[in-house]
Amino acid sequence: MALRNSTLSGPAIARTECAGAAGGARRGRRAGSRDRDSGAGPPPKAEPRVRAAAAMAIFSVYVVNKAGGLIYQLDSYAPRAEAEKTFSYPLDLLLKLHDERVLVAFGQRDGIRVGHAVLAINGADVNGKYTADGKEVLEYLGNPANYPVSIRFGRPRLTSNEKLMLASMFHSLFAIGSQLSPEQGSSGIEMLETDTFKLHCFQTLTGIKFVVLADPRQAGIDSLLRKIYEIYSDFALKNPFYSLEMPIRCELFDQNLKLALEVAEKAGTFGPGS
Amino acid sequence: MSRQANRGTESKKMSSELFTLTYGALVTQLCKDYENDEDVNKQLDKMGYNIGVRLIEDFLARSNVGRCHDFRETADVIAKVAFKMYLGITPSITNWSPAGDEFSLILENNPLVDFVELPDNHSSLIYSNLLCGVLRGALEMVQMAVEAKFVQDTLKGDSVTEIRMRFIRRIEDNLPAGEE
Repeated sequence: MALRNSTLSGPAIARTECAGAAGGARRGRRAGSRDRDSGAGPPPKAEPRVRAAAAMAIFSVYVVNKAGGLIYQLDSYAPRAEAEKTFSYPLDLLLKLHDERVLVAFGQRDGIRVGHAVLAINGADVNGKYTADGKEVLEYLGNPANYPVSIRFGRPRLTSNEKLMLASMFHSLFAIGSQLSPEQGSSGIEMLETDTFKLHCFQTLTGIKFVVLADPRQAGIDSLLRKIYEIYSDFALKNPFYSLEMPIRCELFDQNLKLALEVAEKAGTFGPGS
Repeated sequence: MSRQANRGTESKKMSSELFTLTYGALVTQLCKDYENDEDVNKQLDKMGYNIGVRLIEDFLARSNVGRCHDFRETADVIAKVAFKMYLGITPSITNWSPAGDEFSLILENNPLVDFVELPDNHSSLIYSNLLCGVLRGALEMVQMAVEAKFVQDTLKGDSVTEIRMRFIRRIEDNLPAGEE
Protein backbone atom coordinates (compact mmCIF):
# COMPACT_ATOMS: atom_id res chain seq x y z
CA MET A 1 0.00 0.00 0.00
CA ALA A 2 1.12 3.50 -0.73
CA LEU A 3 0.76 4.53 2.87
CA ARG A 4 3.30 2.00 3.98
CA ASN A 5 5.89 3.58 1.74
CA SER A 6 5.48 6.94 3.31
CA THR A 7 5.84 5.51 6.77
CA LEU A 8 9.00 3.67 5.88
CA SER A 9 10.45 6.86 4.57
CA GLY A 10 9.78 8.42 7.95
CA PRO A 11 13.06 7.70 9.76
CA ALA A 12 15.13 9.19 7.00
CA ILE A 13 13.80 12.63 7.78
CA ALA A 14 15.15 14.59 10.67
CA ARG A 15 13.35 17.87 10.57
CA THR A 16 13.15 19.86 13.72
CA GLU A 17 11.85 23.16 12.39
CA CYS A 18 8.41 21.68 11.92
CA ALA A 19 7.03 20.04 15.04
CA GLY A 20 4.14 18.51 13.16
CA ALA A 21 6.37 16.75 10.69
CA ALA A 22 8.68 15.42 13.38
CA GLY A 23 5.72 14.16 15.40
CA GLY A 24 4.34 12.51 12.33
CA ALA A 25 7.58 10.75 11.63
CA ARG A 26 7.73 9.49 15.18
CA ARG A 27 4.20 8.23 15.02
CA GLY A 28 5.10 6.53 11.79
CA ARG A 29 7.74 4.54 13.61
CA ARG A 30 5.33 3.56 16.32
CA ALA A 31 2.71 2.51 13.85
CA GLY A 32 4.86 0.30 11.67
CA SER A 33 6.88 -1.94 13.93
CA ARG A 34 9.19 -3.06 11.20
CA ASP A 35 10.47 0.45 10.82
CA ARG A 36 12.55 -0.21 13.87
CA ASP A 37 14.51 -2.77 11.90
CA SER A 38 15.47 -0.25 9.28
CA GLY A 39 17.64 1.39 11.92
CA ALA A 40 18.49 4.37 9.77
CA GLY A 41 16.40 6.77 11.79
CA PRO A 42 17.88 9.34 14.14
CA PRO A 43 17.42 8.78 17.88
CA PRO A 44 13.98 10.10 18.77
CA LYS A 45 14.06 13.40 20.54
CA ALA A 46 11.48 13.14 23.26
CA GLU A 47 9.90 16.54 23.48
CA PRO A 48 6.58 16.60 25.35
CA ARG A 49 4.85 18.24 22.41
CA VAL A 50 6.06 15.59 20.06
CA ARG A 51 4.90 12.90 22.44
CA ALA A 52 1.41 14.31 22.39
CA ALA A 53 1.38 14.15 18.64
CA ALA A 54 2.69 10.60 18.74
CA ALA A 55 -0.27 9.49 20.83
CA MET A 56 -2.69 10.37 18.04
CA ALA A 57 -3.91 7.03 16.87
CA ILE A 58 -7.06 7.79 14.95
CA PHE A 59 -6.15 9.10 11.55
CA SER A 60 -9.31 9.91 9.64
CA VAL A 61 -13.08 9.79 9.74
CA TYR A 62 -15.29 9.49 6.67
CA VAL A 63 -19.09 9.57 6.48
CA VAL A 64 -20.61 8.14 3.31
CA ASN A 65 -24.30 8.53 2.50
CA LYS A 66 -26.44 5.72 1.20
CA ALA A 67 -25.78 6.63 -2.41
CA GLY A 68 -22.02 6.37 -1.90
CA GLY A 69 -21.38 10.09 -1.72
CA LEU A 70 -18.86 11.39 0.77
CA ILE A 71 -20.67 13.82 3.06
CA TYR A 72 -18.00 14.37 5.69
CA GLN A 73 -14.29 13.87 6.03
CA LEU A 74 -11.85 14.71 8.78
CA ASP A 75 -8.10 14.12 8.93
CA SER A 76 -6.65 14.27 12.40
CA TYR A 77 -3.03 13.45 11.75
CA ALA A 78 0.02 15.54 11.13
CA PRO A 79 1.78 14.90 7.83
CA ARG A 80 4.27 12.10 8.27
CA ALA A 81 7.14 12.51 5.92
CA GLU A 82 8.16 15.96 4.87
CA ALA A 83 11.50 17.44 4.04
CA GLU A 84 12.51 21.03 3.56
CA LYS A 85 15.69 22.13 1.86
CA THR A 86 17.19 25.32 0.57
CA PHE A 87 18.32 25.16 -3.03
CA SER A 88 20.52 27.38 -5.14
CA TYR A 89 20.20 27.67 -8.92
CA PRO A 90 20.10 25.43 -10.85
CA LEU A 91 17.76 23.02 -9.12
CA ASP A 92 19.39 19.60 -8.96
CA LEU A 93 16.08 17.74 -8.94
CA LEU A 94 13.94 16.88 -11.90
CA LEU A 95 10.39 18.08 -11.35
CA LYS A 96 7.37 17.23 -13.43
CA LEU A 97 3.80 18.27 -13.60
CA HIS A 98 1.41 15.45 -12.81
CA ASP A 99 -2.27 15.67 -12.04
CA GLU A 100 -2.19 19.40 -11.25
CA ARG A 101 0.70 18.90 -8.86
CA VAL A 102 4.44 19.34 -9.12
CA LEU A 103 6.13 16.05 -8.29
CA VAL A 104 9.74 14.95 -8.00
CA ALA A 105 10.41 12.82 -11.07
CA PHE A 106 14.07 12.01 -10.48
CA GLY A 107 16.82 12.83 -8.04
CA GLN A 108 16.14 11.22 -4.67
CA ARG A 109 18.18 12.76 -1.85
CA ASP A 110 18.08 14.15 1.68
CA GLY A 111 14.73 12.59 2.44
CA ILE A 112 13.19 13.95 -0.72
CA ARG A 113 11.74 11.03 -2.58
CA VAL A 114 10.62 10.42 -6.09
CA GLY A 115 6.86 10.98 -6.06
CA HIS A 116 6.93 13.63 -3.37
CA ALA A 117 5.11 16.81 -4.21
CA VAL A 118 6.17 20.41 -3.75
CA LEU A 119 4.17 21.47 -0.70
CA ALA A 120 5.55 24.91 0.08
CA ILE A 121 8.00 27.44 -1.32
CA ASN A 122 9.75 29.76 1.12
CA GLY A 123 7.29 28.73 3.81
CA ALA A 124 4.17 29.59 1.82
CA ASP A 125 1.97 26.63 0.87
CA VAL A 126 1.57 26.02 -2.81
CA ASN A 127 -1.84 25.56 -4.30
CA GLY A 128 -1.59 22.65 -6.73
CA LYS A 129 0.73 23.77 -9.48
CA TYR A 130 0.54 27.42 -8.47
CA THR A 131 2.45 29.27 -5.78
CA ALA A 132 0.62 31.12 -3.05
CA ASP A 133 0.60 34.31 -5.14
CA GLY A 134 -0.69 32.61 -8.26
CA LYS A 135 2.47 32.00 -10.30
CA GLU A 136 3.22 28.62 -11.83
CA VAL A 137 5.59 26.66 -9.62
CA LEU A 138 7.71 25.32 -12.47
CA GLU A 139 8.08 28.75 -14.00
CA TYR A 140 8.99 30.27 -10.63
CA LEU A 141 11.65 27.64 -10.01
CA GLY A 142 13.01 28.11 -13.53
CA ASN A 143 13.90 31.71 -12.84
CA PRO A 144 17.43 32.18 -11.41
CA ALA A 145 16.37 35.47 -9.81
CA ASN A 146 14.22 33.63 -7.29
CA TYR A 147 17.10 31.69 -5.76
CA PRO A 148 18.13 30.72 -3.14
CA VAL A 149 14.77 29.17 -2.47
CA SER A 150 13.56 26.90 0.28
CA ILE A 151 11.20 24.16 -0.87
CA ARG A 152 9.25 21.75 1.28
CA PHE A 153 8.56 18.34 -0.19
CA GLY A 154 6.26 15.65 1.06
CA ARG A 155 3.87 12.94 0.12
CA PRO A 156 1.01 14.57 -1.75
CA ARG A 157 -2.15 14.73 0.35
CA LEU A 158 -5.35 13.38 -1.07
CA THR A 159 -7.35 16.13 -2.68
CA SER A 160 -11.01 16.40 -1.77
CA ASN A 161 -11.86 15.10 -5.23
CA GLU A 162 -9.75 12.02 -4.69
CA LYS A 163 -11.34 11.46 -1.30
CA LEU A 164 -14.77 11.69 -2.89
CA MET A 165 -13.75 9.16 -5.50
CA LEU A 166 -12.20 6.76 -2.98
CA ALA A 167 -15.24 6.97 -0.75
CA SER A 168 -17.61 5.98 -3.51
CA MET A 169 -15.21 3.26 -4.56
CA PHE A 170 -15.24 1.90 -1.02
CA HIS A 171 -19.02 2.05 -1.09
CA SER A 172 -18.97 -0.29 -4.09
CA LEU A 173 -16.33 -2.56 -2.56
CA PHE A 174 -18.51 -2.84 0.52
CA ALA A 175 -21.38 -4.05 -1.66
CA ILE A 176 -19.09 -6.44 -3.54
CA GLY A 177 -17.86 -7.76 -0.23
CA SER A 178 -21.33 -8.77 0.83
CA GLN A 179 -22.04 -10.31 -2.57
CA LEU A 180 -18.86 -12.37 -2.54
CA SER A 181 -19.83 -13.99 0.71
CA PRO A 182 -20.51 -17.73 0.53
CA GLU A 183 -22.81 -17.35 3.53
CA GLN A 184 -26.31 -15.95 3.38
CA GLY A 185 -26.88 -12.51 4.79
CA SER A 186 -23.30 -11.47 5.27
CA SER A 187 -22.52 -7.85 6.01
CA GLY A 188 -20.15 -5.85 3.86
CA ILE A 189 -16.57 -4.99 4.73
CA GLU A 190 -16.34 -4.15 8.41
CA MET A 191 -12.59 -3.99 8.69
CA LEU A 192 -9.61 -3.71 6.40
CA GLU A 193 -6.17 -4.29 7.81
CA THR A 194 -2.83 -3.06 6.55
CA ASP A 195 0.43 -3.01 8.44
CA THR A 196 0.17 0.66 9.31
CA PHE A 197 -3.51 1.23 9.88
CA LYS A 198 -6.88 -0.43 10.14
CA LEU A 199 -10.02 0.76 8.42
CA HIS A 200 -13.19 0.18 10.41
CA CYS A 201 -16.57 0.58 8.77
CA PHE A 202 -19.98 0.63 10.37
CA GLN A 203 -23.11 0.72 8.24
CA THR A 204 -26.36 1.73 9.87
CA LEU A 205 -29.69 0.10 9.09
CA THR A 206 -30.55 3.10 6.94
CA GLY A 207 -27.42 2.64 4.86
CA ILE A 208 -25.10 5.39 6.07
CA LYS A 209 -21.49 4.34 6.49
CA PHE A 210 -19.12 5.63 9.11
CA VAL A 211 -15.49 4.83 8.35
CA VAL A 212 -12.62 5.32 10.77
CA LEU A 213 -8.95 4.86 9.93
CA ALA A 214 -6.91 4.15 13.03
CA ASP A 215 -3.72 2.66 14.34
CA PRO A 216 -3.94 -1.15 14.19
CA ARG A 217 -3.52 -1.34 17.96
CA GLN A 218 -6.11 1.27 18.79
CA ALA A 219 -8.90 -0.37 20.77
CA GLY A 220 -12.49 0.66 21.26
CA ILE A 221 -13.21 1.63 17.67
CA ASP A 222 -16.56 -0.18 17.69
CA SER A 223 -17.91 2.01 20.42
CA LEU A 224 -16.36 5.06 18.78
CA LEU A 225 -18.30 4.28 15.60
CA ARG A 226 -21.54 4.05 17.58
CA LYS A 227 -20.65 7.30 19.26
CA ILE A 228 -20.08 8.99 15.91
CA TYR A 229 -23.48 7.73 14.81
CA GLU A 230 -25.03 9.39 17.85
CA ILE A 231 -23.15 12.60 17.18
CA TYR A 232 -24.36 12.50 13.60
CA SER A 233 -27.96 12.00 14.64
CA ASP A 234 -27.69 14.73 17.26
CA PHE A 235 -25.71 17.49 15.65
CA ALA A 236 -26.27 16.98 11.96
CA LEU A 237 -29.78 15.56 11.69
CA LYS A 238 -31.30 17.56 14.51
CA ASN A 239 -29.99 20.76 13.02
CA PRO A 240 -33.10 21.87 11.10
CA PHE A 241 -30.96 23.61 8.48
CA TYR A 242 -29.01 20.51 7.59
CA SER A 243 -30.45 18.80 4.54
CA LEU A 244 -30.34 15.03 4.44
CA GLU A 245 -27.73 13.31 2.29
CA MET A 246 -25.83 16.55 1.80
CA PRO A 247 -22.31 17.40 2.99
CA ILE A 248 -22.22 18.07 6.73
CA ARG A 249 -21.12 21.59 7.47
CA CYS A 250 -22.11 21.94 11.09
CA GLU A 251 -19.86 23.54 13.64
CA LEU A 252 -21.31 21.54 16.52
CA PHE A 253 -20.85 18.27 14.67
CA ASP A 254 -17.20 19.12 14.09
CA GLN A 255 -16.58 20.04 17.69
CA ASN A 256 -18.26 17.01 19.17
CA LEU A 257 -16.63 14.64 16.72
CA LYS A 258 -13.17 15.96 17.57
CA LEU A 259 -13.98 15.62 21.25
CA ALA A 260 -15.09 12.02 20.76
CA LEU A 261 -11.89 11.23 18.87
CA GLU A 262 -9.79 12.66 21.66
CA VAL A 263 -11.67 10.65 24.27
CA ALA A 264 -11.36 7.48 22.21
CA GLU A 265 -7.64 7.99 21.72
CA LYS A 266 -7.09 8.40 25.41
CA ALA A 267 -9.32 5.52 26.39
CA GLY A 268 -8.22 3.09 23.69
CA THR A 269 -5.44 1.05 25.21
CA PHE A 270 -2.54 0.02 23.09
CA GLY A 271 -1.47 -3.56 23.10
CA PRO A 272 1.94 -4.68 24.39
CA GLY A 273 4.97 -3.19 22.77
CA SER A 274 3.88 0.42 22.74
CA MET B 1 -21.04 -2.83 22.20
CA SER B 2 -21.04 -0.46 25.07
CA ARG B 3 -23.13 2.64 25.00
CA GLN B 4 -22.37 5.70 26.98
CA ALA B 5 -25.25 6.16 29.35
CA ASN B 6 -24.86 9.83 30.10
CA ARG B 7 -25.22 11.99 27.10
CA GLY B 8 -25.42 15.74 27.05
CA THR B 9 -28.73 15.98 25.28
CA GLU B 10 -30.40 13.09 27.03
CA SER B 11 -29.97 14.35 30.55
CA LYS B 12 -31.82 17.56 29.72
CA LYS B 13 -35.39 17.33 30.89
CA MET B 14 -37.92 19.69 29.50
CA SER B 15 -41.42 20.49 30.45
CA SER B 16 -43.88 18.33 28.58
CA GLU B 17 -46.36 21.16 28.87
CA LEU B 18 -44.13 23.42 26.83
CA PHE B 19 -43.97 20.67 24.23
CA THR B 20 -47.74 20.30 24.19
CA LEU B 21 -48.23 24.06 23.97
CA THR B 22 -45.70 24.40 21.16
CA TYR B 23 -47.47 21.73 19.19
CA GLY B 24 -50.77 23.48 19.83
CA ALA B 25 -49.39 26.78 18.58
CA LEU B 26 -48.10 25.05 15.48
CA VAL B 27 -51.44 23.48 14.64
CA THR B 28 -53.43 26.65 15.25
CA GLN B 29 -51.05 28.63 13.08
CA LEU B 30 -51.51 26.08 10.32
CA CYS B 31 -55.26 26.40 10.73
CA LYS B 32 -54.93 30.15 10.19
CA ASP B 33 -52.65 29.72 7.19
CA TYR B 34 -54.72 27.16 5.37
CA GLU B 35 -58.33 27.42 4.35
CA ASN B 36 -59.53 23.93 5.04
CA ASP B 37 -58.72 21.17 7.46
CA GLU B 38 -57.67 18.77 4.73
CA ASP B 39 -54.73 21.00 3.87
CA VAL B 40 -53.75 21.30 7.51
CA ASN B 41 -53.82 17.53 7.87
CA LYS B 42 -51.65 17.22 4.81
CA GLN B 43 -49.14 19.75 6.14
CA LEU B 44 -48.96 18.03 9.51
CA ASP B 45 -48.30 14.73 7.81
CA LYS B 46 -45.58 16.29 5.68
CA MET B 47 -43.89 17.86 8.70
CA GLY B 48 -44.10 14.59 10.56
CA TYR B 49 -42.55 12.80 7.62
CA ASN B 50 -39.60 15.19 7.62
CA ILE B 51 -39.16 14.64 11.32
CA GLY B 52 -39.43 10.88 10.94
CA VAL B 53 -36.71 10.51 8.32
CA ARG B 54 -34.27 12.19 10.71
CA LEU B 55 -35.58 10.82 13.96
CA ILE B 56 -35.03 7.23 12.84
CA GLU B 57 -31.27 7.73 12.95
CA ASP B 58 -31.48 9.06 16.46
CA PHE B 59 -33.66 6.14 17.41
CA LEU B 60 -31.31 3.54 15.92
CA ALA B 61 -28.20 5.19 17.32
CA ARG B 62 -29.67 5.17 20.77
CA SER B 63 -31.83 2.12 21.10
CA ASN B 64 -29.57 -0.59 19.69
CA VAL B 65 -32.45 -2.45 18.06
CA GLY B 66 -31.63 -4.56 15.05
CA ARG B 67 -33.46 -4.98 11.78
CA CYS B 68 -37.02 -6.29 12.00
CA HIS B 69 -37.84 -9.20 9.74
CA ASP B 70 -41.51 -9.31 10.60
CA PHE B 71 -44.20 -6.67 10.90
CA ARG B 72 -45.11 -7.94 14.37
CA GLU B 73 -41.58 -7.27 15.51
CA THR B 74 -41.83 -3.78 14.05
CA ALA B 75 -45.09 -3.17 15.90
CA ASP B 76 -43.49 -4.20 19.17
CA VAL B 77 -40.48 -1.96 18.69
CA ILE B 78 -42.67 1.02 17.76
CA ALA B 79 -44.95 0.64 20.74
CA LYS B 80 -42.56 -0.50 23.45
CA VAL B 81 -39.35 1.28 22.50
CA ALA B 82 -40.04 4.22 20.20
CA PHE B 83 -43.21 5.63 21.77
CA LYS B 84 -41.72 5.09 25.20
CA MET B 85 -38.55 6.90 24.25
CA TYR B 86 -40.04 9.94 22.60
CA LEU B 87 -43.49 10.40 24.12
CA GLY B 88 -43.18 8.49 27.37
CA ILE B 89 -46.20 6.31 26.66
CA THR B 90 -46.59 2.69 25.65
CA PRO B 91 -49.53 2.17 23.31
CA SER B 92 -51.08 -1.27 23.13
CA ILE B 93 -51.08 -3.24 19.93
CA THR B 94 -54.39 -4.79 18.89
CA ASN B 95 -56.67 -5.61 15.98
CA TRP B 96 -54.20 -7.55 13.87
CA SER B 97 -55.52 -8.28 10.42
CA PRO B 98 -55.58 -12.00 9.54
CA ALA B 99 -52.76 -11.50 7.03
CA GLY B 100 -50.62 -9.84 9.68
CA ASP B 101 -50.10 -6.69 7.65
CA GLU B 102 -52.28 -4.31 9.64
CA PHE B 103 -52.50 -3.45 13.30
CA SER B 104 -53.72 -0.71 15.58
CA LEU B 105 -51.84 1.30 18.15
CA ILE B 106 -54.17 2.28 20.97
CA LEU B 107 -53.01 5.40 22.78
CA GLU B 108 -54.76 5.64 26.09
CA ASN B 109 -53.39 9.05 26.72
CA ASN B 110 -51.97 11.20 23.99
CA PRO B 111 -49.63 13.86 25.38
CA LEU B 112 -50.24 16.10 22.37
CA VAL B 113 -53.89 16.73 23.28
CA ASP B 114 -53.63 17.37 27.01
CA PHE B 115 -55.32 20.80 26.83
CA VAL B 116 -57.11 20.57 23.52
CA GLU B 117 -60.80 20.90 22.74
CA LEU B 118 -61.62 20.72 19.07
CA PRO B 119 -64.01 23.52 17.99
CA ASP B 120 -67.02 22.63 15.83
CA ASN B 121 -65.72 24.35 12.72
CA HIS B 122 -62.67 22.08 12.67
CA SER B 123 -64.51 18.80 12.71
CA SER B 124 -62.33 17.19 10.08
CA LEU B 125 -59.02 18.35 11.53
CA ILE B 126 -56.80 15.44 12.52
CA TYR B 127 -55.03 17.22 15.33
CA SER B 128 -52.23 14.71 15.96
CA ASN B 129 -51.66 13.82 12.32
CA LEU B 130 -47.96 14.67 12.76
CA LEU B 131 -47.51 11.30 14.47
CA CYS B 132 -48.66 9.44 11.36
CA GLY B 133 -46.11 11.34 9.29
CA VAL B 134 -43.35 10.51 11.75
CA LEU B 135 -44.18 6.80 11.65
CA ARG B 136 -44.34 6.79 7.86
CA GLY B 137 -41.07 8.70 7.44
CA ALA B 138 -39.14 6.69 9.99
CA LEU B 139 -40.22 3.32 8.61
CA GLU B 140 -39.51 4.40 5.06
CA MET B 141 -35.87 4.94 6.01
CA VAL B 142 -35.62 1.32 7.14
CA GLN B 143 -37.07 0.18 3.83
CA MET B 144 -40.67 -0.31 4.89
CA ALA B 145 -43.50 1.49 3.14
CA VAL B 146 -46.47 1.80 5.48
CA GLU B 147 -49.68 3.73 5.71
CA ALA B 148 -50.58 5.26 9.04
CA LYS B 149 -53.85 6.97 9.86
CA PHE B 150 -56.02 7.92 12.78
CA VAL B 151 -59.23 5.92 12.95
CA GLN B 152 -60.32 6.96 16.43
CA ASP B 153 -59.52 10.11 18.32
CA THR B 154 -60.48 11.13 21.84
CA LEU B 155 -60.79 14.68 20.55
CA LYS B 156 -63.71 13.53 18.44
CA GLY B 157 -65.49 11.81 21.25
CA ASP B 158 -64.03 8.33 20.89
CA SER B 159 -62.99 6.57 24.07
CA VAL B 160 -59.42 5.97 22.90
CA THR B 161 -57.05 7.21 20.24
CA GLU B 162 -56.26 4.61 17.61
CA ILE B 163 -53.64 4.75 14.88
CA ARG B 164 -54.09 2.15 12.18
CA MET B 165 -50.88 0.96 10.56
CA ARG B 166 -50.87 -0.90 7.27
CA PHE B 167 -47.82 -2.53 5.74
CA ILE B 168 -47.58 -1.80 2.01
CA ARG B 169 -44.28 -3.27 0.85
CA ARG B 170 -40.59 -3.57 1.45
CA ILE B 171 -38.64 -0.93 -0.45
CA GLU B 172 -36.10 -3.21 -2.07
CA ASP B 173 -34.43 -0.73 -4.38
CA ASN B 174 -32.63 1.24 -1.71
CA LEU B 175 -31.81 -1.63 0.55
CA PRO B 176 -28.23 -1.07 1.76
CA ALA B 177 -25.63 -3.62 0.72
CA GLY B 178 -25.27 -6.55 3.04
CA GLU B 179 -28.89 -6.43 4.18
CA GLU B 180 -30.98 -9.27 2.82
